Amino acid sequence: MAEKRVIKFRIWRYDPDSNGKPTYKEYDVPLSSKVTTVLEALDYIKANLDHTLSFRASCRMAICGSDGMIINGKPMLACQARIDDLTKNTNVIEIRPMENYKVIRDVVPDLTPLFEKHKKVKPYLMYKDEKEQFNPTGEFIQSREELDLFNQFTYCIKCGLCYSACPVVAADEEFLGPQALAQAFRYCVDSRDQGLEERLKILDDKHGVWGCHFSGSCSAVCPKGVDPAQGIQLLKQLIIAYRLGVRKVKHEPVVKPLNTEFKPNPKIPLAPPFTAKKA
Amino acid sequence: MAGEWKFWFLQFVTGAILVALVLTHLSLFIGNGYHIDNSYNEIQAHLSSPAWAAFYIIFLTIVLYHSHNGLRNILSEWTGGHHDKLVTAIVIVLGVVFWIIGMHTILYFLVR
Repeated sequence: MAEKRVIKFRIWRYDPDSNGKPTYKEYDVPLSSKVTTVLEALDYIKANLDHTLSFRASCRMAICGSDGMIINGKPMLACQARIDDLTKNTNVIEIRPMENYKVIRDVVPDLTPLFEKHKKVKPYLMYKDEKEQFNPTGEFIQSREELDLFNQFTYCIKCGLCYSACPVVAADEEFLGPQALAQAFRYCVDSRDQGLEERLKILDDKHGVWGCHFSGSCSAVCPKGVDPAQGIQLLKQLIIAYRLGVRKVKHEPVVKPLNTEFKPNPKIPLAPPFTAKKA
Repeated sequence: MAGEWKFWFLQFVTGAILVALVLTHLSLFIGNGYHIDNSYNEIQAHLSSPAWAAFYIIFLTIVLYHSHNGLRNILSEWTGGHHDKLVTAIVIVLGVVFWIIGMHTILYFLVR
């Protein structure tokens, strides 16, 4: 029987309570059918080698965005990082916490600035008729073409990898960052939204959209294939057009009364009855 | 600074105009029979024309705006945005000084 391949993990360790400097600690992890990704290796280390190791993870399938870290120098999700791909020319994998965040412990970053900046750009639909927005009498109509303008940006899982990769954030802590700016574009360009003027207060600033130098690192590291750099450039274009008064908006948001006379399609069978009793 | 779009937009527009101006400027000196030996005389004759003097006044003004706005951005980032007023004042003063020196050179042959 062939020997199991052993990979050396160099992991950045930091304990805020110890007042000590961060150090790298090494762990030998044998590969197996249960250890194929970096996250699985971290689980193996925590279960078998060092239970003090801290890391954050949840869904294990690149949906929750909890396990962002720098793996072999590149911001990645640990659950998406396959050990085979990372060890083609080396037997060592180096892991450290994401850049541009404070570290809570080991490779667990404090994502507060990411979420605070995300909140700042008002990442929700804003409709001028507040009565209709908060007590809707109908539904907004949107065409496929209108959806395509922002659809890719809805795939953002707020993992913070783009924020970690951004060189402008590293130099300017007040810069909103790629995640927030791409989400601002996502809402500003939505045909159901009327909040551009409100968002400009924060976006039209050197710490806002104009701070972006278009290095493109954010797009290079996004685990969901979103292109925040493109979104930011399109947002610049949109703001210039709006400020010069040449922005073309096809139509105001269209509200269509709710269809209350719903008739089920006879070709589609009805859902089976509940098997559990309702409380 | 809110309303930063004006600076970005002007930087973009002046950059685009500069492409045309620089190409025009270079085309006068490349492949047009100009040589180091007689360049002074050629330039003297060239700048004696009011049309070319006007061209270079526009060129000078735009290139100074573009370069000094760029410089303002770089200095503003280096200083963390904490001394923007000082940075803006420095680049404006420098720009005015360079503009006066440039205007003196351009107008020297025209008014002579």
